Amino acid sequence: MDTHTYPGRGLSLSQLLFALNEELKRVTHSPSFTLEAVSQLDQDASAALASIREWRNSFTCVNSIPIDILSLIPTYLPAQKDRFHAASVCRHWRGTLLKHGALWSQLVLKKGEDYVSTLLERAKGSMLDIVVHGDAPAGTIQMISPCAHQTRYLEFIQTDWKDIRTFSEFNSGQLPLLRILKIFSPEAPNPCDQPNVATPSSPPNFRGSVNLEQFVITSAKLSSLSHFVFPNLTMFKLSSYSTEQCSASLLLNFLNASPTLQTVEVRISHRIDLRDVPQEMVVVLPNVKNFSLHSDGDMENVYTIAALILCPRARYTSLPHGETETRMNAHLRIFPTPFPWNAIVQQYMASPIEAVTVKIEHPQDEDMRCFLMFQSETAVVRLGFIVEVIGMDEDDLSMSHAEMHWGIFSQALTTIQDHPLLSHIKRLELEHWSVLEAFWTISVEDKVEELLGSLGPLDELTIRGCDLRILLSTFLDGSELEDSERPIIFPHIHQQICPGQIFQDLP
Amino acid sequence: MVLLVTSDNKNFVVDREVADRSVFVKNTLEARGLSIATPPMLNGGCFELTSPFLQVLEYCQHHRGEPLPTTDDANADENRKRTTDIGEWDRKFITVDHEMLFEIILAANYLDIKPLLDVGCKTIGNMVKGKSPEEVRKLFDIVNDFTPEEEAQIKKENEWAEDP
Repeated sequence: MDTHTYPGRGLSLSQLLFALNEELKRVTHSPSFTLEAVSQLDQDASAALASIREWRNSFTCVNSIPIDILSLIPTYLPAQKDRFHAASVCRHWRGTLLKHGALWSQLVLKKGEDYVSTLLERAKGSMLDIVVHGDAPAGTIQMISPCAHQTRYLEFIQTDWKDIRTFSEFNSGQLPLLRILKIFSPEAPNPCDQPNVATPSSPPNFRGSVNLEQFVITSAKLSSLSHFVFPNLTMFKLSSYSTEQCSASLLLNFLNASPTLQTVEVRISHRIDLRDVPQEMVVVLPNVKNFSLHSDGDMENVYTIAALILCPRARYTSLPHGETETRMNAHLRIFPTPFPWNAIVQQYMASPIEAVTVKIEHPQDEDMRCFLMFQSETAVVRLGFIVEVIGMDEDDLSMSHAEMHWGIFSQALTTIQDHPLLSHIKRLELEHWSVLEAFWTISVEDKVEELLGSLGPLDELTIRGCDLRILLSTFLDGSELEDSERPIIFPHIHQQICPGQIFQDLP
Repeated sequence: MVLLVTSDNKNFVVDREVADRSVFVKNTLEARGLSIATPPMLNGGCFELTSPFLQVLEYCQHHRGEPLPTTDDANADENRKRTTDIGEWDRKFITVDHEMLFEIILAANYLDIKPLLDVGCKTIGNMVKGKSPEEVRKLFDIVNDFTPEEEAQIKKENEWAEDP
């Protein structure tokens, strides 16, 4: 070790240690001995020791990795905590990591001004990912301003609308790199902070975000949408919750101003007012591939909204609705749905249907779900409902579980039967009908026979979770058909798939 | 078939498909129109290529025929870095001692085999993840070489790190 020249000082280790020792003797024997002099010596010794250790670390196996690769490793550490820890391992790692600006581009403003200034300095010209919490110090928002044009990702968590607007005004210049904007507004906002208090002449929020691609907003009111215009948006996710009724035109106008959208996911948990929607209004989203409109509280109007939106190129459309336990008394209005499902299916699926799936799930102590899925060569349309029944006593419900199962079952089968393009169906899948045991009588048989009778020849019939052997034997055995009081012409099926467990309980 | 000669003069005959996993070898062969590529010595010859090269060959043989990552897809690159998942075979392959791990990384970097470099860096990333600086030092035989003044700054940073 002594033969190595110590980097930066031009001294060998033994020379360095000798010099330190001599200096120590000189200071302690000097008549001008002072505490300051010893402190200085202590500092020098610490620095020298640190340098020796730094040199020692240069011989370790891991530090044989070139700097450009070493600086790559923290890019595989998504948590900022791990990056800070990695930069605290040794001087070599610290020096390497601090030069890599992209490692320090995540800014969480609530951590204070020292933190923001330190990271902005390290990030240099790198694109910034900024998270603004409701309790972020006001000064940090101003600190961002000179670098706002570097922002790639911006997220507001539990932030008042007033502060979002302030942020937008502070950083009102061009935001050409901003690709993702997420806003989660407080659950109980101060009415004075609502965005609709902005004057009509107020410019839209983040108007410089000309290249914004993804906009995710969770808000108590749809009215917040009126303060955003993003002409080049490709993905929009809205979760709107409120106890008050909100105007549907706000959503429709926003979508109308975003013709480049490719993915739309909307979840509305309140009543929707359709009165101010012009009668002739139709929103065409020519590029949308995935469209999801989920209602938790206004089944009738949400289907009406869906009927006002055209997505001619949609490959996947999902229109489930749900009911929470607070609305359990309203179950009677679930079935049949006031807005016929078939109108929606036909609107979103113009091509011949090749496969249909009916799936009913109601595991014990879990939500009840039913999904009806139509599939063509190029698209999938999924309808359904979710009822939260956890913790609810069935006696308290205005409609028993069995009645709900029967209601959804009937509507699903009627929707299939009424579809004009059924003749192309090649595959039918029925799953978990065991929940219909209470109705496992002539009514179910009638429904199934009607359905099978209305289909063309099938290539594949898949049944899971129930025993339809009685019906299938009728369907497969011509002699029994002759004896039937209800003659039905069943389609020819090439293949049946019935998982073994279905028949386990049969005598 | 392609003849590859390492810096310590060991010969390896491999399928072209295997050799092409290395962008360095692929480009060298295409530029020279030859069937032989001789990687030059690294770091003035202190790097013994044969040992990690055998490992690298095993990796290339296993992944032969798979699509090579493109350099122009910035989003894919970003997503690749955000995940720390390593495939089952790759995980077993890279379960080696530290010295070999670092040599494989050096070889992957030099031979320009990006997926292997990814696996190596992810492995080190996974070793570091969730560990305190002291635990990382212990893992890689590193000593704390900061002065008390530097330690004070680091302590402040680590308070930011602990704040969620």
